Amino acid sequence: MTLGDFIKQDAIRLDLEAEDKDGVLDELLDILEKSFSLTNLSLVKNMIKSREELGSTGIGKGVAIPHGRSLVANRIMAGFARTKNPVEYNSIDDKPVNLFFVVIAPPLESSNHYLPLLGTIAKAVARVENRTKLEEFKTPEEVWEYFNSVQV
Amino acid sequence: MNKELQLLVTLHDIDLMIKELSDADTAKKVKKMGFKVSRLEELQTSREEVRAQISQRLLRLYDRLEARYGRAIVPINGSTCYGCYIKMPTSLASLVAENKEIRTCENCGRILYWVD
Repeated sequence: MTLGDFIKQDAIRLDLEAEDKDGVLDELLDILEKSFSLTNLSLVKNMIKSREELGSTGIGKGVAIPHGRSLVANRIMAGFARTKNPVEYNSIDDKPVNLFFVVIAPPLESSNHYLPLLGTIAKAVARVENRTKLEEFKTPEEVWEYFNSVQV
Repeated sequence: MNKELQLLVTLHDIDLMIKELSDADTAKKVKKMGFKVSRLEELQTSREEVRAQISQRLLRLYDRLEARYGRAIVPINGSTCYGCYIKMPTSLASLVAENKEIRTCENCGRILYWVD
């Protein structure tokens, strides 16, 4: 399976206008709502905020990957967004973020793809050339084509 | 959606997070990915704040079910309880739909959360 199997083209948004962490989280949840018919967004937001209390999901170098498991999710739901301007995110390197992945999963999933998916994203964005690609892609289609080349 | 059920689901998700990251193997994998998971005390504080908003009766039920099964709340999809996989009577399934009331499985007793 590839990253593109989990993050479909309609779950990719570029040039978000959100200017703060809360605004970005709302946009990411909106992506999941539209792409996966996710309901009860407030419960998922509670979960994501709880996860952030444990430790920022801003892993540095301009990337954040808010994630977690929730009873509200009936399958793995993932999306990607890029903001027009970097946003303060309390990242581990104290640098602002403009590349965002969001991943939520059910409490139990027999496929066991959740942690491998997170790991694949983290590994991909650790490389500067991949972050540069994500910064420079002009359309969601280009991003999705790239995601289809990344094996999970 | 029922307000106390919302709080129970929030509590469930926090407890799940704590359990998952208490597993040494999972915690190691997550840290290796570059995530920090060090502020457990803050999460525990949030947990207590959520619990403080739930009635004692429901908390006792939740804690009893957690102790017995490891998971107090389970999804119901269609009319199947995903805790014990028994099909609910259609009349109960329709009551659970949209999560307007707190209902428990007639077989295993777990709290039910309706998922699309």
